[in-house]
Amino acid sequence: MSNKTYTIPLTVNGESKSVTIEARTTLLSVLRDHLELTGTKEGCSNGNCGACTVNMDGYTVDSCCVLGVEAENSRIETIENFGTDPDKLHPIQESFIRNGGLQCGICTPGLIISTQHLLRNISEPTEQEIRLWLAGNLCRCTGYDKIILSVQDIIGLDPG
Amino acid sequence: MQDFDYIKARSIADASKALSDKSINTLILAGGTDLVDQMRRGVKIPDVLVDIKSIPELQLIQFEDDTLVLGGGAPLSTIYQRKSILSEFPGLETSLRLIGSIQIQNRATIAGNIGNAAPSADLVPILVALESKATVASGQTKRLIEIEKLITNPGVIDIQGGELIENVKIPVKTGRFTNSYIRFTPRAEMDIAVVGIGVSMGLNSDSTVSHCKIALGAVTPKPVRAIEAENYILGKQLNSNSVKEASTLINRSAEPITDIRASAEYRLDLLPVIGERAIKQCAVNFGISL
Ligand SMILES: Cc1cc2nc3c(=O)[nH]c(=O)nc-3n(C[C@H](O)[C@H](O)[C@H](O)COP(=O)(O)OP(=O)(O)OC[C@H]3O[C@@H](n4cnc5c(N)ncnc54)[C@H](O)[C@@H]3O)c2cc1C
Repeated sequence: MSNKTYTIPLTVNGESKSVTIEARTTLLSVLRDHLELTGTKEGCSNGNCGACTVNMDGYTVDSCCVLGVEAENSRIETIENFGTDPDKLHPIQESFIRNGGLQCGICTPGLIISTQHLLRNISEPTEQEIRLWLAGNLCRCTGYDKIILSVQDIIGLDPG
Repeated sequence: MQDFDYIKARSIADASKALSDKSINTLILAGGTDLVDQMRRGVKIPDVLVDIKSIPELQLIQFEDDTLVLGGGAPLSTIYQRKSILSEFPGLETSLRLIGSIQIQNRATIAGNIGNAAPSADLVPILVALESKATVASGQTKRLIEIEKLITNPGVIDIQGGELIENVKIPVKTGRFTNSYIRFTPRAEMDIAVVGIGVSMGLNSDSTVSHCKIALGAVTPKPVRAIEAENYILGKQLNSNSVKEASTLINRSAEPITDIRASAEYRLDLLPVIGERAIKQCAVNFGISL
């Protein structure tokens, strides 16, 4: 058992941060426990449910399966990068609300991150592409149809 | 999760040195999509983790003469983003895109899929069918080894302390060649293969089969080829009879077990069906309708 700590500089939502952590600390815990960005949720803790999805250097990852030490010098985007003021939400957030793409909301931060990643890569995804790109984000409330609708409703808008 | 020391290796020599100390349990970390969860569950308890993702050679994805070289530490999604790879290796593309979700593919690596050595690993059958070899490197040495020899048992690969998988080399064939990978899972997405079959096939100008390698996943403890099926179809016309007969012979190479995903009997029922689909996919790629 080690008792070393590591000081890790990283950029979160455009701001330079530094955390001092043990090697076993996950990126998820860096965000939630060290930086108090609790918008990113913990679900299954093993990479299946996607609740903890964040964008790391332009790619979506399950932050529960990434170690904080691996995120040294990386650029992380979390749900807090979207609107936090209810009057100034991001178009993706507004679409999920408008279309009933969420109920309990636990999966929503991850879904919004994955939706943005999809729209940054495929500007006009087909329904099948939407289902494929969101397959790593489980939702136990909506039955998915309204999530698909929420994505389809903002095709053509700038995903940010 | 028990704590450990973390080393970000910048070169193969760096990593090799860290991996050579036999007095402690040092493990290689690639994308962590298998390993981090295994550590969380206490299945693996390393003293030291050596992260190999910052080693430049392990990120290379390129054609070298008649070989495709895939760096062991490159995320799977960076491989299938290359159009030139997809046109040569449709079966490889299929298998890469089947692994987990987009989030997993953005992290997981080829070396990790081989290194974890799960019988159900989706990249292994197609790599074996394509007669791929892994470059196993240490600070001083490099050796090439066939994937089916590298994986020796579930969860076990034949590398020594100080060694790591640098890349996977896939021969690029010129002429009428194609390949396919088909797996069966109860769910369409986010599931693990009950049966997976990779096929690499070549045709003569008279449409007789000039080349056929069939590799099986999830039905043997280590990767095997379905030699009897391959031998049967070699030299024959590719038609629905020859494909059906060859598919039936696949079972002779399988030793399935019963586990949480399927019974051995079910897997034996599935094998010829999935085998037929995989060979027929090659025919479709050739533009032949069966
Ligand atoms: C939700 C989920 C879904 C999944 N779905 C699939 C699926 O559909 N199909 C499938 O096949 N797999 C699946 N997996 C398993 C996993 O994602 C793959 O096996 C992946 O390729 C592992 O790569 P990695 O880089 O993350 O490996 P890691 O977890 O980093 O390492 C895995 C093992 O390989 C060793 N290793 C890593 N790199 C090297 C190297 N360069 N040299 C030698 N040894 C090395 C490690 O020490 C470790 O033992 C899934 C995993 C999750 C979490």
